[in-house]
Amino acid sequence: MLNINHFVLALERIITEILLLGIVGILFAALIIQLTVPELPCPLCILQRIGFLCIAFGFLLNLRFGPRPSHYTIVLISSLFTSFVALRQIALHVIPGTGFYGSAIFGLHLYTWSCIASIAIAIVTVLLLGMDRQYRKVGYAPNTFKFIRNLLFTLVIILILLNIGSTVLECGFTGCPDNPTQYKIKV
Amino acid sequence: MLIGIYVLLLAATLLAWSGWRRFSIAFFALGFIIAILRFWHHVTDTLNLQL
Repeated sequence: MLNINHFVLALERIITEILLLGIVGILFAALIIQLTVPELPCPLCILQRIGFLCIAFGFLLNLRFGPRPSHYTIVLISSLFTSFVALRQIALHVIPGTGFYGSAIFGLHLYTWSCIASIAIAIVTVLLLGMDRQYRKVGYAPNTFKFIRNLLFTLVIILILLNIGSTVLECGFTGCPDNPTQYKIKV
Repeated sequence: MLIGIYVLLLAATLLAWSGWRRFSIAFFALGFIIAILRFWHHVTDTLNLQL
């Protein structure tokens, strides 16, 4: 007999894991572009990366402690912050002739994709937030789920460490340049 | 400042993984506030606003 509470909780976990994998993918893609093209992130770009990590933190809290409205609040406020920073960067370059920062992917620059992604995450989170049955305590945590949870935590921690290294190499321990063209510390 | 935000996020994530929920949220909140201040500094610095 299907337990509707377990079903809703499993659905919430699957959606959370998919969103987390998406965020991890976005941040790894940003690092790959930085290394291969190469295009160094500006301070606004770094703030957007921080914003996505904050979103990921909210979802990780859900996986670790179970879904709570306060965790969704963290996700939403982080999504708002990320979209504001991205919109600021879009506004800097939206008028034709004012230039742009970085290359375009499928016709849109990374800061535009960042804005789209953060708003999309906010919309999905608002819908997730409304699933009332997920807040009931059912104590359901199969071993497979714990493996995925630990894997996602590991990936996010690796991403934070890589971004710390990248920022240190690019900016040293001083302020980051507005239009970086080379690393301050060369390895 | 940006590196400091990353370090606070790292601490928050490690604390959350270890089970220290309230401490992890506290570290996250501190990092998030600094991120907002950094963004505000960027906006006011580049626009030369009179608010």
